[in-house]
Amino acid sequence: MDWLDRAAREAANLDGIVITKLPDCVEWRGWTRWSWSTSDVAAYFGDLVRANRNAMKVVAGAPERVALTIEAPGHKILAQDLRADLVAVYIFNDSESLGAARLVARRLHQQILQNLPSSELVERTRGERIWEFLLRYAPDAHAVPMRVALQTGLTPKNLADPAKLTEAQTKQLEAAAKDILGVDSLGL
Amino acid sequence: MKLDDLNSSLESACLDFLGGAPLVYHCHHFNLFLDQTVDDAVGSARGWELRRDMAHQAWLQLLSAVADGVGAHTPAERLTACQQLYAAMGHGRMAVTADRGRGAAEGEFLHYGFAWKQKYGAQVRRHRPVDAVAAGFAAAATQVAHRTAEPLVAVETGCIAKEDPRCTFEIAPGGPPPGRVVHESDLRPVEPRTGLAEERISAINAGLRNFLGGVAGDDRGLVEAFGVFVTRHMTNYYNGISYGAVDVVRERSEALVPMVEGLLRESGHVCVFNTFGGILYSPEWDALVGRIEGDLTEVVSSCCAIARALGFGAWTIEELSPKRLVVTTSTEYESPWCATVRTEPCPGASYFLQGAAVAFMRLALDLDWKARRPLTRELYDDLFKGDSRWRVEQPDSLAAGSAVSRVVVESR
Repeated sequence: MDWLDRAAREAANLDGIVITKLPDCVEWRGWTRWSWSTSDVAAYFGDLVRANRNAMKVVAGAPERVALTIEAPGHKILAQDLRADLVAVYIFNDSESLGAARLVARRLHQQILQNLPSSELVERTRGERIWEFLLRYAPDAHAVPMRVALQTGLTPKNLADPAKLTEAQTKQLEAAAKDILGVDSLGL
Repeated sequence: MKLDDLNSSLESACLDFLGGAPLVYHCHHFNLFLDQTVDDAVGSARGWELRRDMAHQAWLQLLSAVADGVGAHTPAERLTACQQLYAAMGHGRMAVTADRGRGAAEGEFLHYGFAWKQKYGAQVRRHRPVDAVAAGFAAAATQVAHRTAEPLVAVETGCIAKEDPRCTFEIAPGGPPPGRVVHESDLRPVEPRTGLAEERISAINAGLRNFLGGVAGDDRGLVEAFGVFVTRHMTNYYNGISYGAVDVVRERSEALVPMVEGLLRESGHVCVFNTFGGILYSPEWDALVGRIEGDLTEVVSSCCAIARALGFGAWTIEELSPKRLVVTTSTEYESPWCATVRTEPCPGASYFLQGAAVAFMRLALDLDWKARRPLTRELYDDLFKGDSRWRVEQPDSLAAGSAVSRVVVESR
């Protein structure tokens, strides 16, 4: 049991916490009372925060720190920036009032801040980020490696370690990702 | 003569024909995945051309036989026969305006476009049209209406899959002349083989074929059954695009051939999960056979019966255990293409048969039949993401001159 488990278990109505790295939306730490995939939660809520930061760029001219509150059937969810490269998502069950959820989140937030690494997390390569983005959003995700291999000529060995893709190979991967997702830009 | 009178079967082979053109039933999941694989393999522009041209030649064979067979003489009669057939086969509704040597068409509820939008539209965008099969039909119907041999080609100028308001086509001279396709006369009757659970498979097959005989397009020209959109479709199309794509990939890089072959097998896997699974879950199945419990032999023999009823061939179970399945057949719909149309044999290349056999085992052993979770994409991803614990080989192939096609599925 690490510091996050201990802190989270004390909050009776907390169903889960996920700390997500931005901009690639990959889980840094996660805890849940249930059998959720914390990496999926990290990916989707990370995307939400990233999109809101981009929206604030449009509205305010520069990326702003954001705090999101989501009230969904059965859950209250708070997402708060920890720093530029990390965001925390707190998921409470419906028994918690919004006010109490904010109080608990504030306490947890302080504990998390005390346990963050001092330097920025290692930046993931563009190849890794594109690959993770594609696997997350492509239909028939299980078929994606073979589809990309056919479109680009990259081998399964290349794709198994996207961090090692060359610049040219990364461009090929990006073109395939855009084709598969039907978008002009990946926004990464 | 009526359209139904043009149906024929090699019953011992479980192969079906209309006007001599070999046909099978396939669902939208298979159709979309196969088309997507072809585009991935050869590039989207060339993929479109390959699919359109193979559809064109397959439709030409079928539509000519049907228009002649039902005694349609005038261009209007012949065009009407073509359009009615298109809807009856579950491909949607096409309104073709056919002049000699040119024309235009508009589609409604086209199987590919409509199903693509339903399946993928909320998840990804599409910038290219999807209805190559309809484009092939539009050009072929125009030729058949006027009995012209000069090749025509159709361009899809609007497609609902890319958010256009409707599917539209323009038809003009062009495109390659049609190549050789498989005809009923290319196939010979075979000695029926028997395998495990043969009595059960034969009985279910007979009941299912009787049921499928009554299946026809609804007002939209779609067949919606067992949770999928079903088409009666031309094997000359499926085989033409599948083996054509493999050839193009092989010219480009031998190392990539396993990728395209893997995706072609995956299309069989997708088909079994969705269509076979949908049939096995259906109230019609419960009424015909009884609610399925999930026993290995029960599930695999049921799948063989479904394969026969859909016109895939007289698949039999040679061997079955929780770690190994051997499916053997003296007929299947892929090999005749290799044996008839190609100048070179294609050994070990009954891709659909291979993928389907793997899926039989996964359906039997990975699906919780008691829980009956809905057969959704989420369940598919949940069950089948990651490496399969099954490997498949095809030691014998009709296309390579063997007496049977034999597929062996084994646990790694």
